[in-house]
Amino acid sequence: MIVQKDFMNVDNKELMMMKLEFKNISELRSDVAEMLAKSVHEWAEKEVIPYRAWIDDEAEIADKALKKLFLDIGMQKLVVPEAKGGAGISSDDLPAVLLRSFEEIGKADAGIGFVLSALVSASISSMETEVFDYLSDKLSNRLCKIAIFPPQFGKSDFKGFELAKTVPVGDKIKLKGFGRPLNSGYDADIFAVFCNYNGISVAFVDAENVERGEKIKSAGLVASKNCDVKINAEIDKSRISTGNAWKKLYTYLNLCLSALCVGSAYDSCRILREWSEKRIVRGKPLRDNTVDASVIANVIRDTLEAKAVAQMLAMLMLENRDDEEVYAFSIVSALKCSESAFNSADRAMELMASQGYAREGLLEKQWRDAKSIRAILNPNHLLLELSANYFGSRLW
Amino acid sequence: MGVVFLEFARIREFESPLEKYMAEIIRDWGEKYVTPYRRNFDEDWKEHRTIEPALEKLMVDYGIQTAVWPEEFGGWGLGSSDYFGSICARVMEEIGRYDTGIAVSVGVTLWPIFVIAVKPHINYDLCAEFAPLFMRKKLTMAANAMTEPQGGSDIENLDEMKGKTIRTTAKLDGDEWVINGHKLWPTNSGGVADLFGVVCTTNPGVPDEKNFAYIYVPANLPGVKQGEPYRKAGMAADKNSDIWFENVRVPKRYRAWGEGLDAKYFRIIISTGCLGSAGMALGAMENIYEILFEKCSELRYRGKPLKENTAAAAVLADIAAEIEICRSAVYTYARMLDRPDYYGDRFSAEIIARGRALKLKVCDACCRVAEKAMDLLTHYGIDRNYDVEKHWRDVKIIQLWMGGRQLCQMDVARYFYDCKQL
Repeated sequence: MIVQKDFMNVDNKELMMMKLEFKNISELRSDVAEMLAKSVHEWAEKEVIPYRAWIDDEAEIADKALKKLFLDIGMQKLVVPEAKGGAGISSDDLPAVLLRSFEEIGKADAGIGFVLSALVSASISSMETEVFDYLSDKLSNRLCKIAIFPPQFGKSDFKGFELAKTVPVGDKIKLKGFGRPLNSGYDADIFAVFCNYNGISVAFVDAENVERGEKIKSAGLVASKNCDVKINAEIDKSRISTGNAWKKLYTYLNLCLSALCVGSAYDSCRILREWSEKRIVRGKPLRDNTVDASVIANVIRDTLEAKAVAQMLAMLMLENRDDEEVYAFSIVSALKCSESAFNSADRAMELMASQGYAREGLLEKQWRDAKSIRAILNPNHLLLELSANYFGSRLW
Repeated sequence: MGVVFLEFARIREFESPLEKYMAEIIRDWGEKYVTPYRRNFDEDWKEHRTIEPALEKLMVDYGIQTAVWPEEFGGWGLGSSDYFGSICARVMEEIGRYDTGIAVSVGVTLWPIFVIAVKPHINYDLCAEFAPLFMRKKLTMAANAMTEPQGGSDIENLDEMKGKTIRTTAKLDGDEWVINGHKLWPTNSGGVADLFGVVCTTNPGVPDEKNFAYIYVPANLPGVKQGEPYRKAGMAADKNSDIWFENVRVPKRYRAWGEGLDAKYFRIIISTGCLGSAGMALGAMENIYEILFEKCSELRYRGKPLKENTAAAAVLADIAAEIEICRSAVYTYARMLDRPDYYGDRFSAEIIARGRALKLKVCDACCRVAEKAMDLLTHYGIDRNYDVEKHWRDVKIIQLWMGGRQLCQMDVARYFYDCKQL
């Protein structure tokens, strides 16, 4: 009985509460990853968290924070060789580094992380190709954003979608496309364009060859300023990454977005935890009511599941696996993590009610951003890809 | 629009001529005064420069603000109609199709009036007092001041808490009530409402429905202070803020009914609130269906319209099925509120539980429909020019208000499983 009494002591209960943070498995821990994550965490504390409630209304907040992250912390130069002023992170270190740092960014602002995800995945996809020199120069000099121009709704030359069209003109390639980039169409410096050159390739086009439409107002991810674009460019063949580059791009994009969503889910948990301690319902803290505790449990379950899947993807990327296999699993990871980030915010909002829905509560921002990532990923299409990959469904 | 959309299921025998007429005028109003402007409503959340003219047209020119008041006071007498529930549901459905924020703003104006102007509980003295305010050719709004900083859903949780956590007090001083308290989040606060229905207690901390008081407070009285509107994820047309009542004095007769009866008739706010919430969520779903119909016919995937691909068609079918079932459920419940002689009082435990069950399911369905629609349209789904994301942001709060999912679940479990300790 004495033990039971102590067990119920409020102070002990506080001690018993597990930390929300959940360290990565040991294989995914490295000094570089931890050091970078610490820098990103400090950046978030200083540049984002104090201003987050206004980030949607005042564009300069996200712009300033993004610039600090990209240049001062050096996230846009992660894979740029040290000789050119970059961090020169090797392929072996990348999964752990991306996992930790994007998780930290996701806790602060998924929109900034989304823009960075595109840049990082596009630049990694060009490593060991001729394009890499061009990109390294661009990324090492000044602030740079890369917009991914994926296959668009239309015809059916890429798994149901339409690739930008290429025509050889002497030593050059003429490239045409119209549609909506995944991110940053309105202010990107470079466009990574999925095109029909030698099968499926990624062409890197300078922004001056791109006509931009009106800036789109969007549900979330405010740091990603997007618009419809018309691409009409003539580029060197050396600006095109061929072979499996597009798959590598998607694999790394899925890793970055998975980690970003894990961070977002953690932030929803943190917000909910603070609320569930303070809010009194039926004469006791919200968390001590079983009906509410079961919802809280689902929020943390979703978050930890996402974390597990994202780590699994990072581990697979470190092993000597078939690219196709890793690519397919990266789809699972992105789907799961984006779903979890949204579910965590959505169900947390269920308990926080109007306080979760209000801008000042910050949860609703995670909710809008997580849903935006989820929708942009095009889950219905990705599910078909999984069926094709794992069951050999002949869909395209 | 060009395309004539199919009507989702309901029993047409119970459709009143007035309801049909109102649906037509609301659609006409929506196309002219809402659709062209609604994409800018989010920027107009504080000033209501584009929102207020739309509200004024509907409430004053089309006369909705007079609808519930008895005919002898210049109203339409909706409170005495055998189609009370069906008309309320239809009005919310049709307005919700265009903007659920406007729907709640309209619905909440009618809400406090239900307590005193719906048969069999019509308080003629209070109708005579307040109806003239709404008969003016001037936009006149009302609000239900219920939620408090410390109480949250406990205030609405009458059956369990019996008003124990209400901290807004009403003390009788001679022939006047003196009201003190702080309310949060009422729709139409932030300077919109002219009249508040205020949930108070006459004996704080004591769980007894006799202490529950519902008192009408004109917004322009000394001691009534309102804060700035809150910024929210959506629902820009619905202004919410803090209201402080500091020694606000109103005549004794402004209490709706008196000891015990206030709590009893207040429950019509729960049943109609559930119906209204489900009705406007239904309208939003129908508009999402219309948008999907159009966009999934335009967007091409695998060389054919998106809707002609079986995977997309399956999602579209799920959405249509949700709406089909929800509409029939909304109008079944509306019919129950039409005819208390068949189905029981609108404030009875049974009707409340059925209303909570309806709100729970329809709001969940609505959120699901909006989420699926966004996923289907992918980066067009999050684009504000496509309106789906606006509905998605707006409808979430419908699921959360009135105590949210958890209170709905408790009320449903209490009635359907005869729970004694919830």
